Amino acid sequence: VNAAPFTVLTAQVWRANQPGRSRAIGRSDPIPFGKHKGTPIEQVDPGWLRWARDQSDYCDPDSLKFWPELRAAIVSVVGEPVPGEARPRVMSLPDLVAALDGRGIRLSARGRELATSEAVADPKIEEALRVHRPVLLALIAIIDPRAAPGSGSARLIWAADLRRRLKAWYGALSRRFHPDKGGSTEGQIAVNESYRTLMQTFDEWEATP
Amino acid sequence: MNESEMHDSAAEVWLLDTSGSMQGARIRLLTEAVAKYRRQATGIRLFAFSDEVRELRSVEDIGEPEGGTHLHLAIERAAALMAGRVVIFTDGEPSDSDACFAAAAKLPGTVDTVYCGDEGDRDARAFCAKLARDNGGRTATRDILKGQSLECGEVRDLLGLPAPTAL
Repeated sequence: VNAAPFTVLTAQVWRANQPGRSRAIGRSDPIPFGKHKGTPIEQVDPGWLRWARDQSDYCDPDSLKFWPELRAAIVSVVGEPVPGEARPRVMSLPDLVAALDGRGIRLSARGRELATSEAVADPKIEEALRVHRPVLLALIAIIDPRAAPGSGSARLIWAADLRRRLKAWYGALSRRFHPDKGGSTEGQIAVNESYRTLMQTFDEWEATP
Repeated sequence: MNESEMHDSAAEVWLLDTSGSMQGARIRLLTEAVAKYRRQATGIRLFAFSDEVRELRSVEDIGEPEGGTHLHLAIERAAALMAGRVVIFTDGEPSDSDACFAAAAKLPGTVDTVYCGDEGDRDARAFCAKLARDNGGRTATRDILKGQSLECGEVRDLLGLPAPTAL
């Protein structure tokens, strides 16, 4: 698969669609997702809180609006992980960006190509990357022969499943960023551009024997 | 997609079957349910499909059902709008199933189906289920002529609408 530029939401677009950003969260605020949704953080089972704290790749866009603040509140209850305790589910964000960079996928914002270190250092870009994480991971799998099945029915099943996931990802972002749903034209254009670039890469992979 | 193309795009599209088989109670029950649901939803664009596809400003403009079930034309229209989500209300198999699957594959978003025909029609139900499954969506079956109302928790949940609040 040829390397493809991947358009991420620009800082400006992202900020415009983040009304809940910088919200202060305390120990008595409710958990916004999962089986303890609605329960004050300080009353939730500590084991679950430690699990939630270590989900560095948490992908619910609504929760991600204030994920750093939420994680800080959780840490105030159960503390930071001790060395060797934390078990992140997937690679860290810098590792993810480095992996993309190493595979020739260039990140760009507003037509300007970003260096890996620049992308990770920009908190707004970092937030955009977090929402895109499922898709970026899929992209890595596509171009990594160790991650995607190479042939036969396994490859077909894997591709069909990924296509469904991409549709669900696009649908969720459209229902959040489209002007008809209270988003903005600029935000939806960024979503559409990302989708098209990704699908082009996916189609190229599918066409490769 | 540039800014001018965005003027004719849609986050969510509902496609309503107005083919001949929907005549009578079916279209009345469908219209009543969609009217209520639409009042609770935002940013929905409605289209009626039979031999052709036309956009509805209001579900009350749906008209008298007649003609075939050219669902693939409606899905193609939704794909042209880059719809993030398509919900199909139909009572049977379309005129061209393969064309529907091909059109849905070009949709960027998901497809949910609400089958409101005879629950004994296994082929029609299987079509609706496959169309939804292949495109990251869900399906619901409500035989409305047997009294299974479209205004129910299953359809409400599929549409992503909140439960009604008690007065």
